[in-house]
Amino acid sequence: MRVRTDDEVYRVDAVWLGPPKATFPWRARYVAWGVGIAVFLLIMTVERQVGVGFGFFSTAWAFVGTIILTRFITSRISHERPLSAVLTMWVRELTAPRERTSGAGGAASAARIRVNQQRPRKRPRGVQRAAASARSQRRQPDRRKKEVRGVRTPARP
Amino acid sequence: MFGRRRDRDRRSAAQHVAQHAAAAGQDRKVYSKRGRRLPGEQAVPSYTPSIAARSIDGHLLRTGQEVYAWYKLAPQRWSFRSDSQRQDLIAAIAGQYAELQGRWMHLRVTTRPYPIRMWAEAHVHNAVRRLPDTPGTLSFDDYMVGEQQQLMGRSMAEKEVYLGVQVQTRNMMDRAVERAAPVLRKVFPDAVDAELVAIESEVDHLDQVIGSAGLEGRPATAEEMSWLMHRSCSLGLPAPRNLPAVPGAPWEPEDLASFTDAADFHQEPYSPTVTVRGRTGSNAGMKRHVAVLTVGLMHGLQIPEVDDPWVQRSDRLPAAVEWSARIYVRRPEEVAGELQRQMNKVRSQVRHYTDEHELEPPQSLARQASRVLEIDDEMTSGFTSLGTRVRSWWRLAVSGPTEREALRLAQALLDLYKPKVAIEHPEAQYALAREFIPGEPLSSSAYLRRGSVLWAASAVPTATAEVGDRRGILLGETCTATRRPVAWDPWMAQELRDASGLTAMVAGLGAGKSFLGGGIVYKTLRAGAHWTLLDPSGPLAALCELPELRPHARLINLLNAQPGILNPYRVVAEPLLEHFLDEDDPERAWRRERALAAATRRRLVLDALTGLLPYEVARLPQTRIVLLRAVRTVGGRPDAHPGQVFEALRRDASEHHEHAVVVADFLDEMRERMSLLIPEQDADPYREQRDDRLTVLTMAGLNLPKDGVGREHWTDAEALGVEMLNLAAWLTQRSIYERPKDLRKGVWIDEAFFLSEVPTGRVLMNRFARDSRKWNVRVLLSSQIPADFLKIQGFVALLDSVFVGRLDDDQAQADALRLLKVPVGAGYEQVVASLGRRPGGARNATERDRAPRQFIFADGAGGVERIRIDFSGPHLEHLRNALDTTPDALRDTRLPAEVEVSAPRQDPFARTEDSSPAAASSDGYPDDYDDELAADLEVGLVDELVDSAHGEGGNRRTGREGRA
Repeated sequence: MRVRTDDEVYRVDAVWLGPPKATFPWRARYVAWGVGIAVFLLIMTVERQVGVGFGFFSTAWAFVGTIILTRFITSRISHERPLSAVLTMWVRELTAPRERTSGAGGAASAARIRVNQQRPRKRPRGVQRAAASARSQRRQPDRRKKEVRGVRTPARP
Repeated sequence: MFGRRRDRDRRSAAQHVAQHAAAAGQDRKVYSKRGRRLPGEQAVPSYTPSIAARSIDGHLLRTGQEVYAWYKLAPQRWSFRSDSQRQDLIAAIAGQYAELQGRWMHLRVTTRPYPIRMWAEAHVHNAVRRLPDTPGTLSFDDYMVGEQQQLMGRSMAEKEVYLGVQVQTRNMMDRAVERAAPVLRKVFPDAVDAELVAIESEVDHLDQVIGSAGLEGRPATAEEMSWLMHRSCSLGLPAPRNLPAVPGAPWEPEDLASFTDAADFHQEPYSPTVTVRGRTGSNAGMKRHVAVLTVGLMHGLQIPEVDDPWVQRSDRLPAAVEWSARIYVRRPEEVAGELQRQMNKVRSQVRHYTDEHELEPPQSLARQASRVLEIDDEMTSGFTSLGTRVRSWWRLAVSGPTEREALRLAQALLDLYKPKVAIEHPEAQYALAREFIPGEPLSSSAYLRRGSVLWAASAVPTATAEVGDRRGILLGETCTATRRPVAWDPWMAQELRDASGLTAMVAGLGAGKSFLGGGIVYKTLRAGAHWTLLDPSGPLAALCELPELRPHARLINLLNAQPGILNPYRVVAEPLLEHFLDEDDPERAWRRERALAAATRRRLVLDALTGLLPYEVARLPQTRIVLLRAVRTVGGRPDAHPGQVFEALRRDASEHHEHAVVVADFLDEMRERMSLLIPEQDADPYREQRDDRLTVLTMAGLNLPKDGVGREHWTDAEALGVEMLNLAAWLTQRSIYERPKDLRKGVWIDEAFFLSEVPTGRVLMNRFARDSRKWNVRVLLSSQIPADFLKIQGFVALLDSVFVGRLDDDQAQADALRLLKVPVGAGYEQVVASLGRRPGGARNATERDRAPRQFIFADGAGGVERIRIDFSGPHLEHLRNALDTTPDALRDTRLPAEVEVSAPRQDPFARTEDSSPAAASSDGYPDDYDDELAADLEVGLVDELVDSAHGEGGNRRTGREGRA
């Protein structure tokens, strides 16, 4: 059993040879004509923007540039890869995720986290007041201790 | 409280299930992630998967826009089928595709690896009662290490093919409902499930279409969906060693993170590969470069006849190839319009050339116009829808640890498909790689392939080359489309598939029969089997000399054994009552079996004695009559012997008395030569019991007739040889009844051609076929000529597995294919002829052909494949040397002498069942005439009676009376 694709049918090379009875010396597909016109307009616009005046030579150069660019673009497209697909793939190339070389975050540090050995606990009701006064007394030596951290303090009597 | 609960559990199952279902429904309602917001949950950022898929419910995968139903397709055998069968398969698949008009399909081919280490695990687990290690020799562990090293890095990967079919596109309402699900679930829970409920009938229809013959797809299970998603989201990475647990509930978007977080893709602009980096699990930190290719232009292919199915072809690559194809089945009206446009285009071009410019139009335009007409004709003719058209994009992906490696594989793939199919390597690798993930949209329309459904179906991605199993001994590897190791467990058929244990091994001289058989015996012995080998010529005796087998092996040269070892009355085992305890009526079954054994003995004696008589005498009808009568007189007791038949002949009192005496004289004359058949007075060669793992029976020096020589031209010695061989085969058969039923036993009868030469051959075959399953026996029968087996009636039906090696004769090749149950005349004869043939240039080489031998192996479970026998590991070198039967004048002559010395001469043969009651006297047989008659019928004794009744009336009655 011979099986084959239908692709041949869709590979009709639609060319425009030129106006009737005036055959151009080249054969270009319709798509090439389309691309060429777009490119020509684009180049002309760029020339105006850059500040090149409209004249014979600027137009001639634009024409040459159009031919070169169009030939380049049409060499990239075929029936297999229509212009739209090539453009899509170009966009996809641009938007694909890249490898991230710079690391985000870096080493984690817990330096800024306060750590207490014990959690605060509820005290019996009677001693609460006493404890509060004791705490206010104790605060002073605590602070001092912090200031001289690393130095051994003599044991208090 | 617990007690009461247990009580409740014990209630009727139906009620329990109903309760359970209700509870599950409630649970879901209450504890669903969406249905309930926990305090503080507002702060949790919402998650949107980075892939298009949004949820998976059963086999339905929902993206934002579509619902796809995923199916796992069944593997299809391709090799060794006839072209018409293959065409039918393609047409069936094409028909299924055609039914899916207007739908998108996503075909995914992936692999599920089965590494050799997993085989080793299964094999060790399966090796029950394995051979104890002998100190100083290759231990079982070393042997297993050697086996794995030989196949290092290889995998018995299994190809898996999934097909996703678009069920429906989702409308705005569906999406809105999904968005509002958290609220809706509280207010109006039915609305949330309404979407899936609405498409239920359509899904059922798809299930039915995909499930019919051809694709044979079944809805993918949750585990399979998980596997597919994993393999696609970590494309090209090695398979994860352990998958996350599969939830019982549907996958919500948040759950999909378990797939997408396993790996990430990235690429440089216009780089030839995309890099996939594993992030979690066993692949963490692993990098793979994936080259994604696409199928370009394609020539016409002759699919079943000349070319492989074009997707299956990629299996030839020594690395796994992932496929992803997007197929859209077009509606005929749509295609018709497009064809019309193309036709107009062609016409206008032709006009443009000829009318406007007066130029010759290119030939291609004419060709295209005719092709348009052809397609139009295909689509409108006939009543089948095989002309339906598809648009499709076929992508392939190969991966390697480096970019270079991936590109090398890509190049290999390009070369593989040359010149008929062009494989392209496009840009936008990342976007193409995303296409492999179920639910992702097509990334670009480039490389669109159009064709008929027949063309799409002829890709047959499900075609595989599978043979053997995954726990048995390693035989070698397949050598057709795929290279994968072949393992075969000879007892799997009996233990799991309820099939017979008969295996035929057919190959010409020097095609590697004894090498293959010896390897199977050696490896299964290591794994705990018990073997009895009948090897008339004797080269397999070398197996007994292998140091690790020597303590457990015994070699018996039957020609030197005790007289009476081949006593036809003894080689048929006496059934024991305890073996029938699992029957409905053990007593009756046992009696029936004993009657059958007795009838078999009589038949065997009759055959043996007839075979020993000169052909002219044996042919006379009187000879049969007198012999039959004498055999009946002696009966079928296990302690009788042929000598008693001679006496009975002399005592014959009928009208043929004279002839009987003549026959007795003939036989008496040969008495010295048949000493093995007649035991000496008071001697019982079966007295001593031994438990050997390997028993090799040889008959070195036996005279056997040449191939193709008719019975009438055999010499006395040759006739005797064949009879003795037959009795020896019965002896090996007997050995299986001496061991426990469940024990894995094997019997290998080499030179089994005689089975078709003696009438009892078929009886023996039937016994083997019947008992091999019940007694867990693998019976290997090897011969050089397949016709020997085909001559035995009904043999092919009894066969389980077949090995066919190289055969040169045309007829033999066709016969071999018949044994394999492979179509004859479809060109496979050539394959049989070319198995392991050396390329022509090496014909005159003086070096020996040491290339591994090839066989066609049918495993009995549907797989038929060409395999290469590979025992080439360094740990098996001693085995290879021992099995090397090729003569070599340069080899030192030390070995044979040693074998002779170590062969235990006059080794009494093991085991007796004398202890069984009532075995000794003929009175032990009750008058179970029905049983006896049935037994006679089964072994064909009645045929004899009817035959001889032609010559002489009423002798059957005489026979009965004589016995009485």
